[in-house]
Formats: sequence, structure tokens, C-alpha cells
Amino acid sequence: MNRVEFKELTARKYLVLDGATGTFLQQSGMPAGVCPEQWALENPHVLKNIHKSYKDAGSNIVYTCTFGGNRLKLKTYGLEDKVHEFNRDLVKLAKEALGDDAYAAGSIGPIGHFIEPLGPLTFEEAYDIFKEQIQGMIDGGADMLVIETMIDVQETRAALLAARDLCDLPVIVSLTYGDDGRTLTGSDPATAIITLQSLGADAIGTNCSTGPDKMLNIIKQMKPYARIPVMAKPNAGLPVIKDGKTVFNLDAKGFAKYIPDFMEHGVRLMGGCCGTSPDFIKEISTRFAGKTPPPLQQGAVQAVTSRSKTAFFNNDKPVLVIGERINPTGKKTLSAQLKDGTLSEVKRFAIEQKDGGADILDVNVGVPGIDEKAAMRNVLINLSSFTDLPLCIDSSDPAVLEDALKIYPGRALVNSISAESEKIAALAPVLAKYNPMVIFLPIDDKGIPETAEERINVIDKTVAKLESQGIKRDQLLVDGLVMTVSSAPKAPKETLATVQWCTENNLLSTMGLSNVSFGLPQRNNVNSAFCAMAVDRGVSGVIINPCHSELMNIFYAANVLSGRDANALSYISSIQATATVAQPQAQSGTLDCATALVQGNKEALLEAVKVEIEKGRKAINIVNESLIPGIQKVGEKFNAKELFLPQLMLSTEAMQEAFEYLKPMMEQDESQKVGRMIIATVKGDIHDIGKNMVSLMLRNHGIEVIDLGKDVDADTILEAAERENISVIGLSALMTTTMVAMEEVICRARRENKPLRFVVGGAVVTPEYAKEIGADGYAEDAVQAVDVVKKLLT
Amino acid sequence: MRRLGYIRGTEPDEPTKARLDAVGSSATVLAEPRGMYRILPCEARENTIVIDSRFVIQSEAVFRLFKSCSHCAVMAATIGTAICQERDALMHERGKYADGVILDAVASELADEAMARVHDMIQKLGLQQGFSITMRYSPGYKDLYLSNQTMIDELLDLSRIGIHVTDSYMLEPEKSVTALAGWERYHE
Repeated sequence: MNRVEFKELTARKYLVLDGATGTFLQQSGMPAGVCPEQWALENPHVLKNIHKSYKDAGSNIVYTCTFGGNRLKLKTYGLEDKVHEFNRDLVKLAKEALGDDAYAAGSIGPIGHFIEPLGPLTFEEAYDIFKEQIQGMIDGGADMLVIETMIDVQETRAALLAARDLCDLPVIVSLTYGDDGRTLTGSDPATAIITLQSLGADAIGTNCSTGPDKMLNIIKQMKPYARIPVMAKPNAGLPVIKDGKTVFNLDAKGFAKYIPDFMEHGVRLMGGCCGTSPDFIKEISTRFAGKTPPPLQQGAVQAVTSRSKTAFFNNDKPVLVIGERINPTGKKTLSAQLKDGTLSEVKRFAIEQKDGGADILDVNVGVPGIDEKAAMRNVLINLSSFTDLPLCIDSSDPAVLEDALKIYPGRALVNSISAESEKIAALAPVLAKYNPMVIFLPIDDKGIPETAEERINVIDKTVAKLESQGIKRDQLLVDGLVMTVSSAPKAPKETLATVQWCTENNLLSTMGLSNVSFGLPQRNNVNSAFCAMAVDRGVSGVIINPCHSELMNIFYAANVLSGRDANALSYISSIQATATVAQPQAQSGTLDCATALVQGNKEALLEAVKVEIEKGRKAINIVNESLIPGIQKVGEKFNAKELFLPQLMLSTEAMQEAFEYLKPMMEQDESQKVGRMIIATVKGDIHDIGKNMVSLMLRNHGIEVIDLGKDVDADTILEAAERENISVIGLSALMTTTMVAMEEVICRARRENKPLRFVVGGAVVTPEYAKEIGADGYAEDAVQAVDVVKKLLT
Repeated sequence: MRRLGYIRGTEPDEPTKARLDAVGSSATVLAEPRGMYRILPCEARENTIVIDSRFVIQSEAVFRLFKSCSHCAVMAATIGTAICQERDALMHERGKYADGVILDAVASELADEAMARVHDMIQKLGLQQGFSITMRYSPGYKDLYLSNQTMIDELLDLSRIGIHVTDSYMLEPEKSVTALAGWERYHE
């Protein structure tokens, strides 16, 4: 059967699928722990009987017993070289059992590993694994394919693409949703259907994991977006334990009650999953008999998706915001990071733009001299798991776009195609294959048309040309082509007229706004006004910087005024969001040193210290009489749980800064030093945050600390002590395996009769352990460490 | 919060909250979370757990957890090196001690969260196949010694997500976690 035949068949007939196979095999004697595919082939009569019993119960489509027949799953039984053979023979076996009375659908299950960045497989590896399995099914004569029980949209995409590249067989896609209504990797039913339908699934639905009642909710969410037949294969209710055995709580009659609901909500292929048997299938067959399904919904779904979210282009809803900032033009740090593969700037822009109100993020990695394909791949793979916003792939290189569309785990927006013949020749086949939404620039081989009329001409001609190559009109967002108003005063009018024409002619439109204001002062004013005008003319999406709050305020207001924001809901929530961002103001006015220090107010402390110096107070007195008592007070408050670690550290920061300021005025007076010590994290331990805090606190109390760092061996510590003429040593360790290294240092010192005193600490170190290894002191935290060290120094 | 000393009914004040938020969002940018797992058959008897008929763990605590489990999920998660480099820069170069300490705490929390996600995923996977999953247990707790990190490394090849086990059984990057959890069959 080919795809067109399947379409015709499902248009005139409800189709009955089969029920559970795995449990059936077990009941027929398949032992636990064996490879089901192999066992079925060795016991062909058993499998044939199962297939036949479903056919006799009324199944029009029966799944082959090839669910786990992929290279990775078979490898767990040492059978990875049997992929082709098993799949071919199991399909043949099904065909023999079914004859001409039912279709054999080659069943393809999950590989068992995730695709990067969630798992170790590359997209291409997953694709190849599926391709190998599907080839076996084709050679066995499968009538169609069913990709089922899938838990991840990206893995499903790989299987679907493999099928599409190999054959013209119809492909049914079936995902499994959890209690939260999402697949394991977070896709909701609407997003999944929009993504997979656009990629060429011939029917889509869900199976397993819930009974019919909960599955109906999933089906209801898919219905508004389904332009292909919907399928359902629920379990026989919920599993319950009876007499030590698991049974499902619905029998065939109980299950049957739900069938009319499924039909009403658009399901036209139905069967059962775990716990169902031929009796259940008979019920479906009876209720389907003689009925003709209603026609499929028409009209394109104009939307883009991420793995877990959909953004709809809808003229009755607010205009979509396409964030423009992930673009290296004029951004040094981002350019450098894109080159070396670091992603922190990309992620920062993603967060900021989402917070600003972006619905879609444009991704452009065009740094001169960069491997653009690799850079785009890196950003898309990682960004699509970092943000839930759908992405817009922005490149002028068709090869980059093709690779990006392959690995993007949703339905992307592409920026862009034009009417230039070379571009169309290179891009049209790619766009027809992946079916994304596409920004179309009405620029032809003659260049940029000046007037709206000329642009409309280009649009008209090109849309027809693209349609003949499989790219549909409703996939396109026409770019109004924004020119700089300071050099072309009439250009904005032409752009807006182009947008308006699109609105009147049912074409989506977009524009990259910021261009308009080049060369003008206060560009935001111009951008904001232009944005409002574009919204008024019916633009579908604007490419802007959503981090400009003035622009966004006008944008939201324009949506309300043009009737695209019902009850001003988006406007109101945007105002509430900005209200909460208002910064808390720090208290000002001159504070005394101690108060400023307790507050951790760096600026105020520095101010106060300067005032004291101007008054003629000696630096050393400020330290001893104000700062040290101040930090002691901080320590007391910390012990009393009135202040907490972040505040303790803020005070420390302030104190350090005041010290730095006062230091040049104190150098002469060394005698005031409380003492010197060494501190280190012991050998084998790489954790030093605690040790760092301790040494800061000690310094704040006037103790000179020589910090040897982390992973320091006994030799280094003891040599440093000798060289620096030190008598007190602080040792830190975080883990049980490394705290024994503290003992080694202390033992060595004692053995060699060194006059050293040790204070120890760290997460797992206890006072008892400290005593046991012969330490002279133990400190629980940085504040306690000061007291202990002071005692040891005197 | 707990990592910063806020326990039982104590709350940070407004300026501290604002600081926590700011550092927290910079942390999410710096974090490069990655995780991996394997589900292997296991057998538990008398304070011993044998994973995949090859690896032996001696631990009473894990045994108690795994008593009726047929499979063991071996898991690892990390948030990468960038976040600790930033923390060190804050502490040592820029004198931003408070931000450094907060970032360190957030990083630990994120690493735990990354592991929780892996654990959660495995729980859902298990449920689909008729298994319930136990709580997770990491080397370093009770009598599951840190030296078991080497075995986990052998089972998972941790280098694939950039984790290295040092001679003293530390994980690098510092903010990385490994754990075991058991699968117990609850229905056919």
C-alpha cells in the first residue's frame, strides 16, 4: 500500500487495529528473559495464531512482532547481526497469517537510548538504526509501518525520516504520554502532532500507559490540529494486583463503552494495548462496522514548535515576537564564543529575551570564518534543551539550513528564502522535505523591489512557483522588507503596504523592525512607532529585540488596540511582570563603620572609613576599634542565626575592600598583626570553597594567611611551614576518603618533632575525629575557626 | 537555601533574595547539565549486590534498599566546569565572596537537580515496563564507599559526559553526582 492509497482508505473507512501481543506470547509459553523476536521466529505457529486471532476478531491492520528488532535492543541478546533477517521474516510470517484480509504494519519501537543532548546517540546514529530495521520490513513486504510507544519526539523524527527516505509506505506514528499529559521528554499532544504531521506522518495517535478514559483527554488535545487520521490504542484500564498477579481493571464490555467517545473525538484507527485481547478488538470492530468517518479538517496549522511548546500564528491573537539577539553582528563576546563552542552568551540572550516576551528565538551564528554548520548544530542541540521556545533557524547557506532542519527537534521557522532562482533551486527540495514555516523575502534576481506593487508582483509569481515544488502558501511568512527611513523616507510606507496586502490576501507576514531607525537618535522611539503601525496592518510576527521595555510596552498596547489581545490579557500580564522587576533600593546616608559592615554595605563602609580618615583617625585604630569589632558582631549574629552565609560573605567582601583601602596607611605598623598561619585543602581533595571562606574570615581578623590551595601534599605543607617560620596550620577536607590525608600531615609533623599546631575542619570532619588524629583544634565553620586559630596563635 | 544555612523557618531578607535570584539566573546560564544511565540486571543477597554478574558492591545500606530488586539503574549527572570556574573567579579574582558562595551552593543544587531529572526519567521508564524504582543512593553515603565510583565509571564510561574519577575517588568536574537505584517489578 502506498501513502495515497492509505489516505483514500482512511477517508472512507474506520480501521480496526490489533490488541496486545507481548502478554499473548507469554501466555503461549514464551519464557521471561528471552528475545521475543527470536522466540517468535522459533515458534512460528504461536505468533501466526496470535495474528490470526486478531484478524478473525476484525482487525484491519495487525502489527508485526518486531517492536524491539533494532540493533541496540537485539545487541543485549548478542543478536545484533540479525536485524535485517528478523524483521524481514517476522513481517513475512505476519503476511502469511493475515493473507489478503488484513494489512501487516511493521512495528518499530524505541531504541532504548536517547539522542543528544539527552543521551549518547547522535541523530544520525538513531536514524541509521531505524533505517536498518525498516529495510528488513520492506524486504519482508510490509504494507505499512507503525512507529509506536515512542517516548521522545526527536527519536520519533529520526524513525519517521528514515522511513520517508526509504519508501513510500504509509507511516503511523504513536506516542506514549505519562500522567502529566506529556511524553517522557516533555512534549504535549498538540506540539507532538504539529511536529510529526508536518514531517510527513500519515496517521498519528497514542498507545499504552493509560486506560481509555485518560487517553481520551490526550485525543481531545490533538483533535483541533489533526489534518491526518488520528489513532488510539489504550490499555485495558489500570493495572491492579489480584492474587499476586497483575490484571487490568476493564473487561471487553467496559472498554467498549468508551469507543463512541473516541469516534466522536476524531479517532478513526483504534485497537488496544496492554491487557487487551481479541474480545476487545471484536467490540471495536462491531462499533466501527458500517460507519463512515467524517471528512478530515482542512486548513493548514500555521505554527512552529519546540520539543515542548507551540507558537501559533493567528490573526486573532497577539502578534508573535521573534527575538533577534542571538546574532553575532556587532557582538564581540558572542562571536568569540560561537567560534570556540561556548554557549553562555547564547543562553543568556535566550533567558533575557524570553523574560522580555519573546515567543520564538532567531538563531544566527554567521561569524566570518566559522564552520557555520557545526556552530549551528551545536547551538540548536543545546539551546533546544535549554529553552522551551521554538527556534528560528537563520542562515543564508542552504547546507546549514538543511542540516539544522534535520536535527531540530520540532517544527522550525526558517529565515529565509527569497525569489532568487539560485536560492529556490537549492532550498525548495529541503523545505518540501522538512515542511517548516519559512520567512520569504520578496527579492528576485533583479534585487530589492522598491514599491509595494513590485513586491506584490514578486510574491504572486514566487508563491505559485514554490507551490509547484511542494512548498505550500500557508507555510510562508512574507517579509515586508524594512529599509532605513533616514535614507529612503518613503520606504516604510511601502513596507507597511506590502504587509497590509498580505493580510488582505491571507498570507502571513513579518518584518525585521530595527533596520528602520538606523542613523537616527533615540532609535527606540522610531522602532516602537513602526512596530505599532505594523501591528495595525496585521503583521503576523515581528523580529525585534524584546529586551527593550519601551518597545515592548507599545507593542502590547498596539495588540490591544488592534483587537488582537482579547480582554487585554497579554498587556495586563506584561505590566504586572515589569512591576515585580522594580529593584529594592538600598538604604543610603552615612552609616558608621560597624553598622555598614554588619549590613554588608560595601559602598557605605568605604564612605564611612574615608570620613574617619579625614577626621584624622589612624588607619590601625579604625581596623582595631571599628572593623574588627564589627566583623566580630557579624560572627555573633551568624552564630545566633540572625545572619546567614550570603550576608556573612557580603560583610567579608566589604571588610576586604576597606582593608585594601587602609593597607597603604598601615604598612609601617607590622607589630599590630595578630599572627601568621598556613591553610590548605589536603592531598586528593579538590573542594576548597569552605577553606576559602575560612581564610577570608581569618584575614578579616588581622591574621596573615598563607593559602596553599587545594590538593596539597604533606611535603608541600611542612616545607612551607619551615620556610615561612609558621607554627599554626589549618587543614581542610570534604570527603571521608580524603580526610585521612589530614592525619598523614599531622603524623609526619609529630614524627619529625616539628613544633606545629593544627586546626582541622570540613564537611565530614568531627571533633572526635580531630582528636583521634591528634589535631590541636577543630572548627565547625569559618566564624569558629577565627576563635580557634586566635587561641592557637597566643 | 539549606546549603546557605537557612534552616527551619529562616528566610533571607529582601536584598539577599534579590542577590540569590541574580546569581541563580547566571548559574542557569553557566550550567551545562548532562546525564547518563544504564539499567542492568542485579542480584542482592547478604549485604552484597552483584550488578550485571560482574560488579560486586558490599553495602548493608544498599542491600536493604535493593532486597527485592531485579535491576539496578546506574546513573550519573554533571553540570560541567564553567560554573566552578566562574565561582573561583568570583572568589579569587573579583573579591565577590558572597556571590561566589551563593554560586557554589546553587551549583550543588543544580547538580542534584540534574541527577533528580535522570532519576525521574528512569522512574517513568520503569513504570512503563512494570517496575517501581527505589530512592537513589550515592557513593559516600553510609557504607556505600566512595571507592565504588570506579565501578560506576567502568559501567558507564563517565568520560562520555566529561566526568573523570580521581585517584582519591573524587569526581571532576566538582559538581557531578553518581547514584544507584533499584528496579522492583510490580506487575507483568
